[in-house]
Amino acid sequence: MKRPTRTRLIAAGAALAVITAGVLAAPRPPTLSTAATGDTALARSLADRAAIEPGARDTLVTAVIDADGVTYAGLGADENTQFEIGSITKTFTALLLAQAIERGEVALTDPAGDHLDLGDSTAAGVTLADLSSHRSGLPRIALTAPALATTVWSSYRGSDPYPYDLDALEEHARASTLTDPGTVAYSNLGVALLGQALAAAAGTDYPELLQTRVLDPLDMTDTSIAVTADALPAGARTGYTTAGRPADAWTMSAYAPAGAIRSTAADMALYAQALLSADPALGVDPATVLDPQGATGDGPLIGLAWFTQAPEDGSATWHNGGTGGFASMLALDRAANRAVIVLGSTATSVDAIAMQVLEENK
Amino acid sequence: MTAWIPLIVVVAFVGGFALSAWSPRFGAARDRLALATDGLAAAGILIASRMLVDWTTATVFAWYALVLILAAATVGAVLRWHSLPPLKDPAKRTRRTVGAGFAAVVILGLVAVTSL
Repeated sequence: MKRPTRTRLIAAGAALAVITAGVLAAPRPPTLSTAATGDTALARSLADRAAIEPGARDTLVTAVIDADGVTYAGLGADENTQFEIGSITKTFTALLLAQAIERGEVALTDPAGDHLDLGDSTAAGVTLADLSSHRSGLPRIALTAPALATTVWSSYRGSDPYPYDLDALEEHARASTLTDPGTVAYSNLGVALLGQALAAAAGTDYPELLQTRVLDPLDMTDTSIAVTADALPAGARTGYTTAGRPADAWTMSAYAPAGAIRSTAADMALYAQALLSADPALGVDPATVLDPQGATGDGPLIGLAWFTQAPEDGSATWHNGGTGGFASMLALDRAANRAVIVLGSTATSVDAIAMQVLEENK
Repeated sequence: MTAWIPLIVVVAFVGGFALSAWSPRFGAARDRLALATDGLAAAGILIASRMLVDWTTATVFAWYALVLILAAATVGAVLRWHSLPPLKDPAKRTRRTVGAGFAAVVILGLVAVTSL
């Protein structure tokens, strides 16, 4: 059948439009930057190790702290580039707990229900110590049907899975059942409750508490926490999922004490140096948060948020972090007075990189 | 394995539209409403796949292949359009229209949620 020229032209134009739009909208998965910054040898070491854990890479930065000072290296980022540090935030919340005890605002044995509206739920009786050391028995995340649906959708969408205000957080806690209290079971819900309990005890909010008691005293001027997307500065960095899809920033609202801090390698080096040197600016002896506490059983050695390797595995005291688009690791070798920080702008783990760099620099 | 499911779904929808537009018999659109719905679904699912598929430097070639198939299907759809009736069975007008409208809302909703 012979078709009119007009129809054929329309067909050709439509095809051209589809191809043009398809090329312009093509997904562009990240690849590890080759733009090295800082110490050349350390940057090369970072590049060599980037593939030891599978997943997309974009930019990486590391800081090695020892008696000689701090050595930085990066690929596509430098020591002043901001990253989401994810769950390393929990160590800041633990430090705030130790400080609040020192100030007499709370006690380790305080039930969470003394500071939050948890009614007569089982979660109300969980102690602040158990929240910090993941021994509360609370689940990792809220298990209500809407929260689980949000978690699943967020993992596909690459969006913040914690869009909950304080009322919702408390409702999540009230609705939770405790599983094997006393044994270590990692809980974002638990540490979020802890941070909010500390803020309530201090009569302020979590970002203000963090700012005045940790970030200002340690002069961590490039570290921040925005608990809503609107509060993020314009142009705030976002990263990529392990698969290379763009991910939204995580601000986490009421769950912020479990993972919403943004920081730089330079500021995290200040934090690590303060922990290694027992800097008075911390407000407490860092051993109170770093030293393993409680019965260990078969579980990991854990202090207030901080994990310690079993002796047969090494000597690091560490915490890692992961958000939708970032990964982080801070590992301390307290005996050798060394620390390593690795930050990445994809969710691909940087744990092994940090541990290898820590071992290498012994 | 589950990571491949979104990509398989996209291939099915784009391939379905190509069949709808070009196939002489199997899978061919019987009327314009079906052709338009298939086209909208294919384009919408492909757009949403930017967020839902784990694109890597290897699998991103599949994106360009799918774009070419969609372009070819679009050519077929334009050429076939005039030879098709608006609705093959006018007796089912209400049911078909409501079904196509519902499908359009779902697809556009998916595009909006994944792209905005």
